[in-house]
Amino acid sequence: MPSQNSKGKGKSNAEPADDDDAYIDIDDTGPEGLKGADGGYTWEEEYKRSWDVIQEDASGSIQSSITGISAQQKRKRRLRDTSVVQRGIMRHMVLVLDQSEGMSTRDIHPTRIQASVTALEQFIGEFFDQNPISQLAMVATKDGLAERMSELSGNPRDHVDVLRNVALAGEPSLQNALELGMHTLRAAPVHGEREIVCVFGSLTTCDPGDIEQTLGALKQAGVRVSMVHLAAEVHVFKRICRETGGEFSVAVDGEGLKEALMESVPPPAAVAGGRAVAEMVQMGFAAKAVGAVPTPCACHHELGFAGFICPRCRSKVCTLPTECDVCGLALVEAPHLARSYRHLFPEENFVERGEGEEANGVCFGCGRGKAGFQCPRCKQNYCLECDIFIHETLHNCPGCTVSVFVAVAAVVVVGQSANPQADQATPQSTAPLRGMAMYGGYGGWHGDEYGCCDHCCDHCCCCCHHKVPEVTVHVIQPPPTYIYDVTQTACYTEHHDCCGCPYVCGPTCIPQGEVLAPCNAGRKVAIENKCHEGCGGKAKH
Amino acid sequence: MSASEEDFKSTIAEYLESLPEQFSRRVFSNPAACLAIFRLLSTVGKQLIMSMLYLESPIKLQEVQQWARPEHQRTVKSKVHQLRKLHILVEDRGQVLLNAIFREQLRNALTGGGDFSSFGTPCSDGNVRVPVTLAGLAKYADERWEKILHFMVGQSGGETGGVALSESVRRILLESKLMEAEGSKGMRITNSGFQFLLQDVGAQVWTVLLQYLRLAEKQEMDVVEVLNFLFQLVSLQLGRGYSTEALTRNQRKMLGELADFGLMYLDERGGGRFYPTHMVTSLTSAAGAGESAERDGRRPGDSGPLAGDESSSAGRGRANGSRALAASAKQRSSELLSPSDKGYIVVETNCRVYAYTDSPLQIAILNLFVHLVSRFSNFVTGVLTRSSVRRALSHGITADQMIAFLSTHAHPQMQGSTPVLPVTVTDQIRLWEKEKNSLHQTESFLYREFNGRPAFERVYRYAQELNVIQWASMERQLLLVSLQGHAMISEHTKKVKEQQEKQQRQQQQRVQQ
Amino acid sequence: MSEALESDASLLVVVLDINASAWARSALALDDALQQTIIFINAYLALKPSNQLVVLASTRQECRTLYPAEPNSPASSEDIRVYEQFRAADVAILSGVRALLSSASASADQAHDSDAEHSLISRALSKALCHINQMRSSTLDAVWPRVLVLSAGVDAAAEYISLMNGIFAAQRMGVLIDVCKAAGSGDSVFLQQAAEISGGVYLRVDARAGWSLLQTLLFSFLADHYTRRVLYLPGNERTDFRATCFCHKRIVDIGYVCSVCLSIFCRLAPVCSTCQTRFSIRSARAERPAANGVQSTARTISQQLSTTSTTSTLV
Repeated sequence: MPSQNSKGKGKSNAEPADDDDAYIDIDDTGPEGLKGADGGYTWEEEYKRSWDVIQEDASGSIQSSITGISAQQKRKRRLRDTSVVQRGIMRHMVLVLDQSEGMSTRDIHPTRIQASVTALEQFIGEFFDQNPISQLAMVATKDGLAERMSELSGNPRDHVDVLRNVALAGEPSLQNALELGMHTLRAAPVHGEREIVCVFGSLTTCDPGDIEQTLGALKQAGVRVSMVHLAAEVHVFKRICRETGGEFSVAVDGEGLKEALMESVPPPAAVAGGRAVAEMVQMGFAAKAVGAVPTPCACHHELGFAGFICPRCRSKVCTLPTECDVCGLALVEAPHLARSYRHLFPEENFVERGEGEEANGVCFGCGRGKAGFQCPRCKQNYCLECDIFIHETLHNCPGCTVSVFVAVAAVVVVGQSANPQADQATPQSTAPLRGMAMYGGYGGWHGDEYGCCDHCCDHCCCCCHHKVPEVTVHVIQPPPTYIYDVTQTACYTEHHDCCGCPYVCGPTCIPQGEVLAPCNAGRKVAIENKCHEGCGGKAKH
Repeated sequence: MSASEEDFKSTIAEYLESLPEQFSRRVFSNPAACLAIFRLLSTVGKQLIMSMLYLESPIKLQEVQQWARPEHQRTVKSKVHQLRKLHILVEDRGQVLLNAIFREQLRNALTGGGDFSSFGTPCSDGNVRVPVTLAGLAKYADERWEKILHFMVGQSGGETGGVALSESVRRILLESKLMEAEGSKGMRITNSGFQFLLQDVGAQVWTVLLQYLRLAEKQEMDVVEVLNFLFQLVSLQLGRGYSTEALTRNQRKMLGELADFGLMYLDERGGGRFYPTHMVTSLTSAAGAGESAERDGRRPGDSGPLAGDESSSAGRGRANGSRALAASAKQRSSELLSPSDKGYIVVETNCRVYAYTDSPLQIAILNLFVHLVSRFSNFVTGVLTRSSVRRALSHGITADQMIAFLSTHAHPQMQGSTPVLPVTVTDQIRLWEKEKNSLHQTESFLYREFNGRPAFERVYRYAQELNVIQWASMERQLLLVSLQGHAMISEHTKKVKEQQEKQQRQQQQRVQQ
Repeated sequence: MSEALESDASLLVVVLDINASAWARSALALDDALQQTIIFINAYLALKPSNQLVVLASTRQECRTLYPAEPNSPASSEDIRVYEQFRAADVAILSGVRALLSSASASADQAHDSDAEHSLISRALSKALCHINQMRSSTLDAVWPRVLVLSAGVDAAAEYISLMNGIFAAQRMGVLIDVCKAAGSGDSVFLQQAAEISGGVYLRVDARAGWSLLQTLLFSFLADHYTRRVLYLPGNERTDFRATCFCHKRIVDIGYVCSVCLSIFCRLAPVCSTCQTRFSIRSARAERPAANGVQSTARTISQQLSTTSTTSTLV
């Protein structure tokens, strides 16, 4: 363990790591937490000799017991929480990276900082792969300060690029980093999940004030803090994580670091009564367009033929999903939304079957391996290889015919409006829809209960008159479509508040570009406290 | 592969290219032959054929070339050229179509059409007293083949070997220049023979079959008949008995000769039947996926036989079919070997070689380039030394061949690592090869004792223009030019001399006047 | 992953959609289509000796692996005109399809007519990926996998999620999904996305317009990963990834997405009709600013906004 003196002005605490588990999980709630299974303290137990687990077989080979152990480990990893709960799909996460001098220690190969950077790069890729409509920002802490490495953005490139050049200096400051993270997350919309994930190597923190206040502020803001520590468990770090609902773990090697980070990839379950509120999020489904001449994109100012056109402001972006740099609209494609569905309905863990039953046939998936595991829903048998594959990559049991999430299935039907199969997904279709009840805590399927469907009128009143009180809906009408001459290089990102409009407007904003359509200075704020015309105002309010 | 490989490059695809059109037509008349030829082609060639297989009307040649992506235009062009040389593609006024016979028969091969037994006449297993097992067949084939290889190695060691080979095998060995006659009865292995030994079995079998074809040509057998029969044999099913009844006299003769090589197993009882062995059936079909023996050879830029290079110019493109063939043959090499032979060599970074084998043949082959130190009942140790490798190099064996041999037969424990062989060892072998090739003899002429610096510089400049300078030293006024250069330079100097003399004479005359 | 070399083998998983009622309405008979597919499969096997093949067939109720067949399959008949390797595959496929169809017709009575033309494509795709995963882990050689779906039926909306999961898994594994829509009237929107996302080819064979299934298969779907780098294949038009809203089935450019269940709506609503979540719409929220420079501006705007909104509520 690296020796580090605690010089920080703030609280610092260190506990030695004396367990050879990958993650140290000493519960520090009191002396009881340190007691082992049989009531005694951990240090009173007989020392477990890990090498005793490995046993030679008749021929003196340890191959069989090693295979057994590795199979156990694989299985352990694939056993996941599969309950159907609401999850924060739209996440806003700040990654805090300790860039103090302590990170140059070589106890993790090659150095702590190098290992962290590679692990973070993988994490960022994986994060955006599984959470395409989420956003990340990065914060570095060194010299007792915290500085922003990258802004909140949905493009993995932005974050991976800044990881290329990290410089180590001084002591880290957790408080500063958390404050900055909180500040960054303040811009996140209310429906989003707010998280801070820290990679820390230092056992100390050099803080300007009372970290308890920061903790209180974090709790109030509903920010979940998780931390992976590279050396040992530190009381204050762990407490912050526990009290904000996050995870604290200690990584002893590069592999452990990666695994600990990957724990944060799947979206967290939403806490009942938590801060995050459900909202309708406006999103643009950008259409692909290929031009005859290369034009610059609004996001990177790089010339290219193909691009996606923001449906609101008609500016061109080069990748999806992203946020339009001009008007701020979240731009996605339908498959990006589909990518997140599997978090809402995870596959159930397969049940391991006894040795005796294994002879019952081959794997349903690949038709080759010995079927030792059974899906509890469709009762099909799978081999270990397929089991792991199904839960880690495919997320889809080949035996279970229909996903429970039928209703949404029709949502992202793409393309033409006259879609014959779309009608078949109306709420009237029978059995599988009952699965919606699994969406616990959010009521049953209203279509069945109220006899109301989506076709009768516009969506509002006939669904809501039942329970929902009168609401005032403020709609910010987006300004009329601006058409810019994108063939000219326009500085889209330099905005001026020329006429009180957050969007790009007027000749002051894009001096080089020609505005082909005028801007209507300001926005129209339409306040609606009555129903849409669709139902003819039949609803009572 | 290096230049010394020249002899072996003439593979079956090139042989087919050399056949005149009327011969090709007859070869194509057999579905089995069409299928076998199809399998020998390059991947792109196959795709082109398949794209056109069910087209009834000819399409424009330009159109075919437009299928290629811009960066691969050249490759596709060369493939089209190759197909035309094989007479598979017929061009008519800028329009191309598949050869009608080839198209018809390849369709038959795919659909099971046609009306004759192109894929052999299998016997029912009813009247066989002693059933032929796969293991038995494999053992038979390996024994036969090893006997031949051992004969080659044994002769080279000067031992009397004690193995008797049939006359036809001897003839093919002599004919293919794998061995040459020595004295009245003896035979000596040649340089190409050494290379042959290090090749994997698939390549060896192709070499022998090709020689067999050449020999058949010389013996005035009908080449087409031989070819068709060979292709038919190649597409037979392993472990199944086929009747010899429907065969012609020539074909029966061929069967007998091929049986000498272990490619066939003849069962004369009960009306006569033959069983193809794994050595012949695995030439174009595979019983399973090949092992990853040649992982080592997969590095980009390796001049190995794996045909993946896009840069092949039109000239080299011609050989691509054969290269693909060599590659696929290589892939199968490990499965051709019987299980006991699979991987027995361990190479350490200090160039020590350990071989778990008791086969005299394998030891003899290893002895070609490894200095063997000690031998135990099932185990041989040796060292790769400079002298042992140089000896092999002087036999014409290339470094790549040695490396390929060692990695193909590497012990399973070594197979896991990439590259299979320690890098130090492969580099060392390559260095030794380079070292040997570092000295070249070139006949040249040395010019010295020039008439002063201007004379030297004049000749030097002229030689430079001609690009014939081998070496030159300005200070010592020495000039070394090649053989061809000498003639031109001496002519030039003569001219210059004459001119000078003329001028001098004129000057003298003027002075006299 | 590096690029495919010429000598690398392929692994092709063919998914046959043999939904009887879908084929019944098609201009191309199922028997003919099967014959042509078998020729295609033979051609694939002929390409390289090391090429591997898996054939799955899917009906409305069931999805079975036809080839490689289970060891207790009936002994193949003696047909001297066919290459042995081809025959093994052909016999397995034909007998498998026959068995599957007969069992399907036995249970067809209980079927609802509405979804008679759905086949279990997502299940077949999941199985195909399991096969590929298994084969990949059992060999060290470079094998380039791809899936060919010979589709006939219509998309089953219920399969959307599982199909999408399969598509994303394929994309991660580098598996191309080729789709040949051999029968049926319209395009399969789901499978179009499958081909688009995984980098495969989607083609619809219109038998009425005189397209030959066999020619299409040989021309467009035979090429392996290496050949696709060298030759152009008939491209897909860019699939439209715009969404249809759940409430009115309209194509939307700008939609509203429920932050809990990601359902798409074309207008704001106080309650998500899919998951029954009540949206908290306490105050109108300004659009999030696009760049840092505007942050202060945005804040002032939102302040302005809140004042306006209070006033207007008062009004």
